[in-house]
Amino acid sequence: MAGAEVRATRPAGPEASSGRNRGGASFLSAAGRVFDLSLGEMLWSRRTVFMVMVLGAPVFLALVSRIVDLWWRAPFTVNGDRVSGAALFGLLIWWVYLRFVVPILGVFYGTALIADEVEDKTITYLFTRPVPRSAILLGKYVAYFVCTSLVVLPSVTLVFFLLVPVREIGGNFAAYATDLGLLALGLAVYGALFALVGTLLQRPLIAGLVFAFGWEQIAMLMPGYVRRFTLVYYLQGLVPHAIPSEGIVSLLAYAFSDSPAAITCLVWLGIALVVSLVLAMRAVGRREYVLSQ
Amino acid sequence: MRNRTRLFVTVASATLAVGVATAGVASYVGLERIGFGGSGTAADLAFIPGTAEFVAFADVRQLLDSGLRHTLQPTLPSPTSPDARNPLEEIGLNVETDVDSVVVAALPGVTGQQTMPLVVAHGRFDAARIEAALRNVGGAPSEYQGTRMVANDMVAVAFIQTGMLVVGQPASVRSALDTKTSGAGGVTTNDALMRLVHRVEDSNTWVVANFQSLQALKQLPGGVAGQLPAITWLAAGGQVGDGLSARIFAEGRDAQAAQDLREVVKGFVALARMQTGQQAALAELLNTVELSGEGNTVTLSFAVPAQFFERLKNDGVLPFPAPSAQQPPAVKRRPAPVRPAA
Repeated sequence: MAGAEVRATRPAGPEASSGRNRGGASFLSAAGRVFDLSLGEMLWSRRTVFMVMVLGAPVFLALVSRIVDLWWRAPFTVNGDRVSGAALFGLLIWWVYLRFVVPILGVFYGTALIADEVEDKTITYLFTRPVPRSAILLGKYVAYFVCTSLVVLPSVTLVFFLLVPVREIGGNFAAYATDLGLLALGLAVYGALFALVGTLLQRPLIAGLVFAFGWEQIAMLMPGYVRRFTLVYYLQGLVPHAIPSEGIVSLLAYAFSDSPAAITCLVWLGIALVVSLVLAMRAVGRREYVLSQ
Repeated sequence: MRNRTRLFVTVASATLAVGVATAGVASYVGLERIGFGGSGTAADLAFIPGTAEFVAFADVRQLLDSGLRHTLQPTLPSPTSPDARNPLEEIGLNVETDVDSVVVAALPGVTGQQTMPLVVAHGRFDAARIEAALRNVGGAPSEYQGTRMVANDMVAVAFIQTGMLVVGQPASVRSALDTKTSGAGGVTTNDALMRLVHRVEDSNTWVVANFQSLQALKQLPGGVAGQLPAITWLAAGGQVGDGLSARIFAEGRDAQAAQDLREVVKGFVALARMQTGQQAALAELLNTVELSGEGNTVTLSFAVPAQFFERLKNDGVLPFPAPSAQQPPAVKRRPAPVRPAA
């Protein structure tokens, strides 16, 4: 039957299989049920092993750094100037979490929200339930957000307490709290964007990786307005950390002197989140998914 | 939701909540104050040579943010007063915006009345700007005991780590680095001094001084010094918030000296009561004074509520000038962050 196709779902119009027409659950309760089901699936999937490995690396690095600092010497120095735990935490937040962990989790989980169901040919079972299609996507998206947040944010907390000396924890609370909020926002926005990609494209994973680790990396190095068409540009504007060492500071201050204002970043990220999510929900509601046999 | 999923969600949420709550409490109260992590100043005191005549600490951030500071602000001297040589200002730092806490010490033979003390400071420092400021006045970079320093003839800065500096006269700073490196001969090995430090270190500002050194420096009026019983160490700790609560510890040479000192203080308090009998505000203040002690130590404590300062202000007892029509601009606490690179 290779090459044969089965029309698994055939909407006659927007939200054709909507639960409203079937006397089913309301939109939110339907989304809640999908969330409940999807959260467990996501947490105990093979992707979680990958996520634990990705998030275990900074925790391990922080642990080694603390041990080296306690029993041997300063683990990192720049021009003879010891890099403090708080500065190292800031570097990890930016380079590891915001530039790598958040996009890659967004790509792997976000694109899979619908694409996995299509690939596994189980979407038929979902779409034949008396729930709105868009509620399925919303429930899955919220499950993705809760799942990733509950793994990423505790990991950040561990790194913070491992790296920052006890006496400096209070002074760095604002930056730590901002980082948690920023990571949650990043997960939400990247997840929404890649959920949209997952509903629209045939090979969403490749497209997502190209966007996150191709387009965003290149655009950020280009002068002019190009970087404004990336998410990381707006996330960067919200990063609270200053980087130590005058050499790096000078370089970065030059390269990123046009960082947008925090309110601008929040507005654009909010727009990206809402628009992506709404479009994704709309696409799921309208699209006819064809399952290859 | 399955049990293991519920368990995971609970554990992860609890980890996050405990982390945020701990950091939040640390931000508002300070972990050292509730017994975690030991003394917050212990690491700083490791830089102070054992010959220090006095050691003082100030949580600059708490003091500047305190209600008392805002009440007294019009009467406080300008931080850029030309009378005193503040080593942090010598290197171009703004105490109000750049500094979080300081440990200050005076070293005999190196620092004196008209010269600058040794300062261990925490805050947000731009190493490039500090180095440029010192280079402009003849400073040159060097390395001492594995630590990067910039020094001219008058002042030296050692960059201990990001956000931590040791500043003072060059000999003081080198002595501090020697003390830290060797781990011996510092004030932390002086049991008498550290005993008093532990008594006052829960305050947001404190000082411990060798009383004989103070006398030698002629910091006390000759008549007063001569009348006091033999005191070896003096410590004072103040918790500055909307009001002020303070404890003063004096350690006598022996139990008899401490007893004599208690009697002297009692006499002063009684005298003060007689003098201020007509002034309700001062009488109220004296009512908070408690005198106690055991062994060689005399303890004097008092608390001054915020209303006391307000009343003094309203009564015109303190020289509060009328606020100017043009309010000074709000101080921006944190410098504009430099965002990391792509």
